[in-house]
Amino acid sequence: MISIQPVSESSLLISVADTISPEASDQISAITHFLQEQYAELIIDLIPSYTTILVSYRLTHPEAESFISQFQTQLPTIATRTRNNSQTIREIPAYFGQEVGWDLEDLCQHAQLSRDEVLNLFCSTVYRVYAIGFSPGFAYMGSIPEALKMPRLETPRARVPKSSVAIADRQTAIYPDNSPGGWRILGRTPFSLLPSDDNALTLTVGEQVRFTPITQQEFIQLGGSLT
Amino acid sequence: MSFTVIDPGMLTLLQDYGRFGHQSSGYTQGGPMDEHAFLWANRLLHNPINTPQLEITIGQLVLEATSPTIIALTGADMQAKINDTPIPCWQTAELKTGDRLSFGFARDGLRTYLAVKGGFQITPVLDSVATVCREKIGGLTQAGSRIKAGDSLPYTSYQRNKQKPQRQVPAKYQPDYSAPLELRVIEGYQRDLFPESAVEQFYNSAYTISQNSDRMGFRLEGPALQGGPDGVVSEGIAYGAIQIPSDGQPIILMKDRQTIGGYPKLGCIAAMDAFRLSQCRPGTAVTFIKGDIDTIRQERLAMLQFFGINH
Repeated sequence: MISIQPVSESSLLISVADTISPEASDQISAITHFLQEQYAELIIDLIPSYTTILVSYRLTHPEAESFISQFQTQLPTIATRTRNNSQTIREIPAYFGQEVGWDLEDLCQHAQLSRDEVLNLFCSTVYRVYAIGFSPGFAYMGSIPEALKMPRLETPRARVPKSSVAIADRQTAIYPDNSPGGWRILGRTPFSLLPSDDNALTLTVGEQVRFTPITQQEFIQLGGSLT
Repeated sequence: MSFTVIDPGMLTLLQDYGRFGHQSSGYTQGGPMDEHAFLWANRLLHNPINTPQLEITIGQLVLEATSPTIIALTGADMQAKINDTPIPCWQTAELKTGDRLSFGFARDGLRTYLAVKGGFQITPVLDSVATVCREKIGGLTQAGSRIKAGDSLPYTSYQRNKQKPQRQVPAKYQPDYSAPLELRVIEGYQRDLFPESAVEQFYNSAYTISQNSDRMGFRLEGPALQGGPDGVVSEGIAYGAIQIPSDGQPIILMKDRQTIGGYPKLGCIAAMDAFRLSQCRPGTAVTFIKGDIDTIRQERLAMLQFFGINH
């Protein structure tokens, strides 16, 4: 059941479901794009997440008052649209060697699978970007196969290297920058996901992603760093 | 044509009106903690509203002017001086080459805004100069660093042709930061997830601002709000949101808040009350009262229109 609720004097929350699902994420994606296209002038910021979109809007815009009721009537039809480009899958190359995949060995033991089996499972699954936050460019993606499910480290590391590919429970993410973190590190992509970097690979909520394993040589050629 | 930083004080940051349109990538809003004081400082100098200023927290900043300019000071009165002459807060002042501008400690309030005619000339990152240390973005170096000794803060020099009286903010717009603060609450959809008795207690209690408060959030200490949910599916967080973590002690989310989070929320305080809250020191007691969203919206709209902001 889709609802719109006021949150503050200049923001509202659109909620499409109570629980996380790919269907809810599709609706979030469709509504977000509709708002960006139809109401760009009115909107200050949009924060799409798993089941909700927080919209902050311009109180001074002449249509600030009428837009909510107008949008409310448009909502049911928009939410049923599926976006074409949500079907395209973005391939992200990643290197899974020992020197960057610090927790891969532990995951193999935990899952009782070989390294190849783990990587085949991990890299054959298509992930969806459910939310972006925690820090700039940090995309929460899911869901990883049940067989690879592993909890976070009990004690987070003081430093997870930039561009590390990591998992926690049934989620996966790429660390946009060096930061403390407790996710299990499987490998590293040669690209930056930090939006303020030049040529950063920027993900958006609703997008679909798959990891492609590459060799150490390819990783270096693509600009990856082993340190 | 700059200020040379002799002493950066406790915490001094370059801020413009904020970083907008990037919250979907996880970048916080940033900008002045106290919009009221910030906007007045630019207005006194006829600067555009987004003109970068210094936000001085607690005090002790010392600067030296390498060319003439006009400044405006608003917010907390830190007993500023030009050389040895005290200058009042909430008005403009003229600086000559070699003048030293120094700040003491704030008497009431926590943050002072220093605007310079024409603004500091800083390269923006993602459309803004707002410094967010945690995100390593904005400010003088574009990398989120706070102001430090030896920094040079560039401006275009400015000199009046003839003597003119200093411009001053009318007394009725100069807040008394020591006055008791009642924060108006716009209740949110998660309010009903808390037991009625807990909400009642929340409105009937005084909360003290914790030492552990910063530009991200103001932590409050008081009767714990118990019986609410452990968490909700992570969602976007609005300015002024009242987050209730599992210990039941409310946190008010401020300008540098994280963009998404899963703590349950009782609602949001009025933005204008949050600006005022940002001037309260740790140890100050505040109370909450249920607010009317339409009244709060009209008031905020009037403020935005007064300053000519189309946000």
